[in-house]
Amino acid sequence: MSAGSPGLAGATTVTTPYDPTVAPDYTDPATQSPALAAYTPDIVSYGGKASDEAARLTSATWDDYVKRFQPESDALIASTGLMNPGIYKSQVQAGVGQVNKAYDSALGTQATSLSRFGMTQTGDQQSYNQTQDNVNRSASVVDSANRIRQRIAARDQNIVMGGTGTTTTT
Amino acid sequence: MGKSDVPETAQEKALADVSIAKWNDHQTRIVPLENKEIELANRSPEAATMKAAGAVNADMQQASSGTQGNPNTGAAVSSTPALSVASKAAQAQVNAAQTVQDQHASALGNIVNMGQGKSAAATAGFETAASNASSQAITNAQINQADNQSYAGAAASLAGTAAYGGVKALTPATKTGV
Repeated sequence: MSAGSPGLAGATTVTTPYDPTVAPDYTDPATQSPALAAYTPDIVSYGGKASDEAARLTSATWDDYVKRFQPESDALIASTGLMNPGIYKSQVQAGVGQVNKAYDSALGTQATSLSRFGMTQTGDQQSYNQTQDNVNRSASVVDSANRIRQRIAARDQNIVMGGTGTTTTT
Repeated sequence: MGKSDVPETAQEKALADVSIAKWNDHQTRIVPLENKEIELANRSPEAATMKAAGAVNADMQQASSGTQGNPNTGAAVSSTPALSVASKAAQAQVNAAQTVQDQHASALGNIVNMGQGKSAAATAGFETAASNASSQAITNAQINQADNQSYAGAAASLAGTAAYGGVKALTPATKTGV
C-alpha cells in the first residue's frame, strides 16, 4: 500500500511499502528466514483533534505490523508443504541421510565390539548380514519418508487451523 | 437540522492521548523484548535439526553398545541386534528432527499470533474511546437536534400564534344570536 485515504486533514497516511495484493515468493530463502528490521520505535505524536490522533495511531499500528510481523507470517506460510512443496523433498532427503547415518553407526559400533573379542565375520556371514542390512535399511528409509510426509501434513493442518502449539508428535 | 461539525468531548481527546501514550510506551519498552523473541524464532531450524538428530543417534548407539557383540551367544556375529538398534535410532532421529521443525513452526505461529493480538490490543483502547466518543457525539447531536426542534417548535408556535392572530384578525367577526 503506497498511501492511505487521501484528503483527511491532519491524518497521516500509511507509508510502509507493502502491496497486500501480491503474495511473496515462499520458496525464497529471504521469505523463509526473514531478517528483522533494525529497531526504530515508531513514536506517534500528539496534537490535533482526537480523530487525527486516532488516524495516526491506526497508521502506526499497521506500519508496525507490516514491518515486524508480516515477514513472520510469510515465514510461517513458507514453512508449510502446502505453499512450499519443496520442503517435502528436502526434509525427506535429510531423513534418509539420518537413517543411513544411524545404520552406519550401529553397524560400525557392532564391528568395533566384535573386534574387541577378536571375532570377524566369514564371507558368507558378511554377505548375509549385508543383505539383512540392505533390507532393513530400505524399510527404514521408506518408513521414515512416510513418517516425515505425514508429519509435514499434520503440521500444515495445525498451522492453517491455528493450532501450531499442539502439533501431533507420532 | 443540527450543527454539521460535532465538537469532540474532553473524554474523547483524553482517551486518544492515552492511547498514543500506551502505544509509545509499548514501542519503547516492549518492542525490543518482542524483537528478541522474533529473532529467536527466525533462526533456521536446520542446524538445530541436525544437532538433535545427531545427539539422539549418539545416545542410542551409546546405550546399546554393550548389546551388539556378546561372544557368549550364538548371535554374536549376526548383524540383527545392530540392525534393530539402527532401526530404532533412525526412527528416533527422524522424530527428533521433526520435533525441531514443529517447534520452529510453533514459534513462528506464536509470533504471528502476538502480532495480531498486539495489533488488536493497541487499538482496543481507542475503539472503546471511539465508541464512548461516538455515544457522546450522538448525545450531543441529539441535544442539538432537540434544541433546534425546540427553537423550531417555538418559532412555529410563534408563527402559529401569529398566523392564528392574523387569521383571527382577518376573519370577520360573526354575530350570533341576532
